[in-house]
Amino acid sequence: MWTCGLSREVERYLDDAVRFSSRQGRSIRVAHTLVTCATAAAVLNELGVPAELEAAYRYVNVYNPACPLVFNKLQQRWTCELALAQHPVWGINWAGAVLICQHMGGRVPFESEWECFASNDQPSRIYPWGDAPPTPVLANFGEYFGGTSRVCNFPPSDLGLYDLAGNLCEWCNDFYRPAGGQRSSFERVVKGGAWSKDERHLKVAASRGKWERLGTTTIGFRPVWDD
Amino acid sequence: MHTSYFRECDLSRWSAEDFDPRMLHLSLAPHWALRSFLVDLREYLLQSNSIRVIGFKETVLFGKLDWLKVFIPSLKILFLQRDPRAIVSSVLRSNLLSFWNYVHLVPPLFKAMHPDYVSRSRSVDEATRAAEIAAMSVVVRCEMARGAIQKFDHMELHLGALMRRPREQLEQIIEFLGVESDDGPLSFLRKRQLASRGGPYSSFRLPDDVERAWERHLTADQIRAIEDVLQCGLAD
Repeated sequence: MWTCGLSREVERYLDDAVRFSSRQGRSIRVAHTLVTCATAAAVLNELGVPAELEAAYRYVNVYNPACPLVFNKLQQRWTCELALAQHPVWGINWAGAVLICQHMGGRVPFESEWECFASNDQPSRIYPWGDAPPTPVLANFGEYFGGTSRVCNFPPSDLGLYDLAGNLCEWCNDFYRPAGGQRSSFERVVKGGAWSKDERHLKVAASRGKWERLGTTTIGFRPVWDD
Repeated sequence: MHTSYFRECDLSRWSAEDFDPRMLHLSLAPHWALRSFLVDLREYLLQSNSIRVIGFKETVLFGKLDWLKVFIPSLKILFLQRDPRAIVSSVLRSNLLSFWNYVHLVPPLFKAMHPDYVSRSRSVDEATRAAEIAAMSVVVRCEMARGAIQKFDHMELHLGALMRRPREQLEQIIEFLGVESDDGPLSFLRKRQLASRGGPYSSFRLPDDVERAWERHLTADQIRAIEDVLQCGLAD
């Protein structure tokens, strides 16, 4: 894995990735958490991504007044509030997610891959933890917490992956195909449900599509690395 | 709208004649990225079909509806209205009055529309003045919509009716949008009305909290200031 020039924040994140081999024999490493605000800011700074100055953002939706990432003009750096540093980052659009993952030597997963590691390769499993119905002890969903929560706050899956259900949905690489419809060339698949979404979105098999240009309050991302 | 641009020129009017096929609008000439975003947005919205409708929620395009009609001729508008007192209460609790720049944008326009209006709130406290300005914003937007919305295929909807008669109202929306019927929206609405919880923008709200929370949050002075504005504006 290429790590030259990465900050300690990012190196720690790479070190904690979990190895996963599917029954098809494909082996990848999966980030144990969603990318946090601190990690996203570190990567954007390593990349030298400038402030979003245009009236339409390239990567970070700085136009949402609650956006956790802020560009500090004095320091010419991306920052986040200390209280949000270990929360998963939101407000990053699909291109931003791809950019950040690539800088860490990884990529956003495909939908089928995501379902595979979220279920620990058990296609009949309903939720990442098994078949028991969701509760606010298992995941952050349904507005029980009113916003994102720190990563690693809820029990991990049996693979050691956190927030596969709830907290934030996760960008995937695939274009979205709505039920009964044609594949969209605008929307990417998002998986996993989020803090404000209903429990049905927490199911491993549940998907929705989101216009890839938008950085929203309910979508984050988790890189994977090809071994 | 995922840009600060329309917030900054909120309530300024763009006419149908202002539409420019290349620049979209002359003021957008220096903003190539925004133009590209808007053109992509239009193309994305036009992916709507009888199975799935794509829409967007908007509060800062009221002054630009005539322009919007030329930019996206087939756009349908669902004009969602709510008790103005509840809107003001919500705006004030969101703490975003300065973010939306209402203090500078709204009173001059309201004064131009209603030159006879005399404020009784100027010498009162800041909270009452804020409620007055938020109420003016509701009136100005409603009047702008009233003038332009007839040009669109549109439907007016009241949040109170949607809360109390969700099945009937959703059926009307489905018919208006021309999509196949689906239980999803009704189930979503019913679930979200079972309890109040979550952050300020949460849609998990008991019907009573949606319709009557303003009674708990607004002071008597604020209610009086709002009613003064409404009497002058919406009663015309």
